[in-house]
Amino acid sequence: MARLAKARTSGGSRRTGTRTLVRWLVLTVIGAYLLVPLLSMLDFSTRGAGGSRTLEAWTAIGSYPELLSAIAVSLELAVLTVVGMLCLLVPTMVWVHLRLPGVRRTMEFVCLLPLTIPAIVLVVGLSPVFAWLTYFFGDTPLVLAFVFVVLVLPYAYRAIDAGLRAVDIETLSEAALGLGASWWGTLFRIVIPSIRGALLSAAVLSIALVMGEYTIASLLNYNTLQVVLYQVGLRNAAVSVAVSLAALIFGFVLLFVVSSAGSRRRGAAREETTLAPLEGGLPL
Amino acid sequence: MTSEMERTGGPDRSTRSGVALQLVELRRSWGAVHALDGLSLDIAAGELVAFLGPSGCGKTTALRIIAGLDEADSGEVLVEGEDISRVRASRRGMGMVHQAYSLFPNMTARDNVAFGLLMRKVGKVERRRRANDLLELVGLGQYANRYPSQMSGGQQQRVALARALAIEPRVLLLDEPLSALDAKVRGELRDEIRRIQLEVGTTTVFVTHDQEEAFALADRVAVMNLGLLEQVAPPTEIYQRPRTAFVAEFVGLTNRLPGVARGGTVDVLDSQAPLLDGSVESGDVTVLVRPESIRVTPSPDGNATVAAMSFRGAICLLRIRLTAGNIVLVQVPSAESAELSLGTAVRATMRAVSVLAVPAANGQEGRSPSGEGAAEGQDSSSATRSAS
Repeated sequence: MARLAKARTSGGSRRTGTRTLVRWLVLTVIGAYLLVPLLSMLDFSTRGAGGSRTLEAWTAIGSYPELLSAIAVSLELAVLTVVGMLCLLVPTMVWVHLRLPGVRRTMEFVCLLPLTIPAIVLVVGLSPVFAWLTYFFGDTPLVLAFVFVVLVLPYAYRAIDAGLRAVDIETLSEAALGLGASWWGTLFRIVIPSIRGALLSAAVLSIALVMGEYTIASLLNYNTLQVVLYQVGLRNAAVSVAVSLAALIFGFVLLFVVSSAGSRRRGAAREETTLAPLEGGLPL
Repeated sequence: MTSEMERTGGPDRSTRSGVALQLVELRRSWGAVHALDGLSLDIAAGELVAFLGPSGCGKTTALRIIAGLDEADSGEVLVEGEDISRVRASRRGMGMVHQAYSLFPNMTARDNVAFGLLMRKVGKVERRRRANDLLELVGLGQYANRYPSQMSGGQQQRVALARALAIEPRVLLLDEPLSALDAKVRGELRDEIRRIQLEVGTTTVFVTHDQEEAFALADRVAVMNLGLLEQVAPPTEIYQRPRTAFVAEFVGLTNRLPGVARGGTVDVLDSQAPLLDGSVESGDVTVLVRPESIRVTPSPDGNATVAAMSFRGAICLLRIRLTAGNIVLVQVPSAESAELSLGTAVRATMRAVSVLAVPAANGQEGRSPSGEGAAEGQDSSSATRSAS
C-alpha cells in the first residue's frame, strides 16, 4: 500500500515537473517572440561606429522639432479621439441597451462598418466633410480626431458592449431611477462606474490605434507621429527606430497604468474579503 | 378587514404608517398578449399583499406599473387617492427590491443604502446615520464598508431591502426578492422581511410564484392568472376556500374526484360535503379535494386500497386506488397511518370541510367512474401541477 502511494507520489511529481517545463517553454517562446524585435530595435538604435554602443540616436530625437511636435499632435489627437468616442458611444449605447434593444444589431452593424471600409475610401468620402471642418476649425491636424473617432468605433464598440453585457445595467438603472436618480445621474453615478473597466479598454484601444495610424494622416497631408517617423526614417533610420521603440514603451506603460487602475479596487476587495472571517457576522 | 387580519394573525393596522394603494382597471398588452386585463385591487395602508401566480400571469407587470418602470395602456394607480399613473418612476417614492441582485457594484453597502438619500439631497452626516441604522435593522451593521462582490446573495438582498426602506417609501415593492437564494437563506430572509415590514409599517406589495412565501408573508394573497385576479383573500381563506379551480389547483395539492352536486352539497367518496361559493350546484361535477380533507379508515369492505405510502415525519402521504380505478392522494397524521400498509383495504370518506365543485367537463378525471376518466390507474391528484 505504502509502495503504491509512493509510486503515485512519484508519478504525480513527474507529471507536475513536465507541466512546469511546458509552462516555462511556452513562456520563453512567447517572451522571445515579443522581446526579440524590441531588443533588436534597441540594438539598432544604439549601434555606433565600429561595433560600439552609443545613445546618439536617442539624444538626437530632440534635434528633430517636427518629431516632437508630431508626438504632441498624436497625443492631443489621442485625447480628443478618446473623449469624442466616449461622448458619442457611451450615452448612445446605454440608451440603446436600455430603451431600444431592438436597434442593438443595427448599431453594431454601423459601428463595425469602418472595419470594412479601406482607408483610401474613407479619405475620399470624407474630403468634403474635411473641407467644412477646416473651414470651421482652421487647417489643424486635430481635425483628424473626427475621422479617428469613426476609425476606433468598431474596437471601442466591442469593448463597451462587452462591459454593458457583463453588468445587469437594466436592473441597476431601474433601481437608481426608483431611488430618485435622473437619467444623467444614473449614467454618471451608476452605469459609467459599473463599466469602468470596459471604458478603460476602449480608451486604450483607441489611443493605440491613433498613435499607430499612418495611412489616413498621410493621405490627408497631416504630420502625425507615424507620418513624421516615416519621414525621419528616410533621413536617419536609427532615430526613427529609437522613437518607435519609445512609442512602444509608452504604450506598454499606458497599458500597465490602465490595468493597474482597473485592478486597484479588486485588490482592495480581496484584502477586505480576507479580513471578513475575523469579523464574524451573520450566516447569510 | 380588521377582523380578517385578526383571524389570520395579522398586525393591528392602527399602529401602521403606510399609505393606501389602489389599482384601477389596469390594462397592459404586448401585441396579442394581455399581461394585465383589467386588474383592480385596493390595498389598505400598512398591508402586505402578495401577488401570487405562475410565470406570465402579469404579476411583475403590475408591480412595474406601480413602480413607474412600465406604463399601463389604461387604468390608474392611486396612492392615498392621488393618481400617480403619469408620475415618473424617480418621483414616485416607491422602494423596490428586484429579483436580480441590484446593488450598485461600485458602492459599498452603506453608500448603496444612502444613495436614495443622496438623490434627495439629505446631508452627509444624516445620510450616514440613517444608512447605518437601516443596515443595523437588516442585521448587517458590520458589513457597511463591503462592496456587493464581497457579500453573499442573502446579504445583498438585505442591503437592497435597507436601500429601498431608506427613502421611507410610500409603498415597498418586492419583486421575487428571494427567488435567487437557496432554500435555507430564503426561509430566513422571508421571516426577516416580514419582521421588518411589521416594524416599519410600510404598505408592501410582494410578487412571488411561491405559495409558501406568499402565505408566510402576506396579510392577503392576490392569486393572478392570465392578467386577472382570480381571488384576493387572507392566506387561510385562499387555501381553505378557493373560489376557482385555478386557485384550488395552483395553491397546494388537489384531487379531482367525480361527484354529484345537489342542494348546496355534493356526494363524493361515499359521503356528503358542503359546497363552497362559486361551485356548480347541481348535476355531475368534478370536486376539487385537498389530500388532508380525506379520511381513510381500514375496512375490509372499503372503497379503496392503499397503493403507496410516503412517510414525511408528522404526516404520511398515501396514494389510494378507488374501486373505480382512480388514484387519490391522501394526507393523514403519521399516528393514523400506523395501522395502514400497502394493499390495506380502506374506506375513504370526506372530512367535514367545504369543497369546490366545477363542471365535470373541466377535467376528464371528474367524469363518472363508468366513463373514460375511470381508466385503470388514472391519477386523480393534480400534485404535479401544483408544486409548492
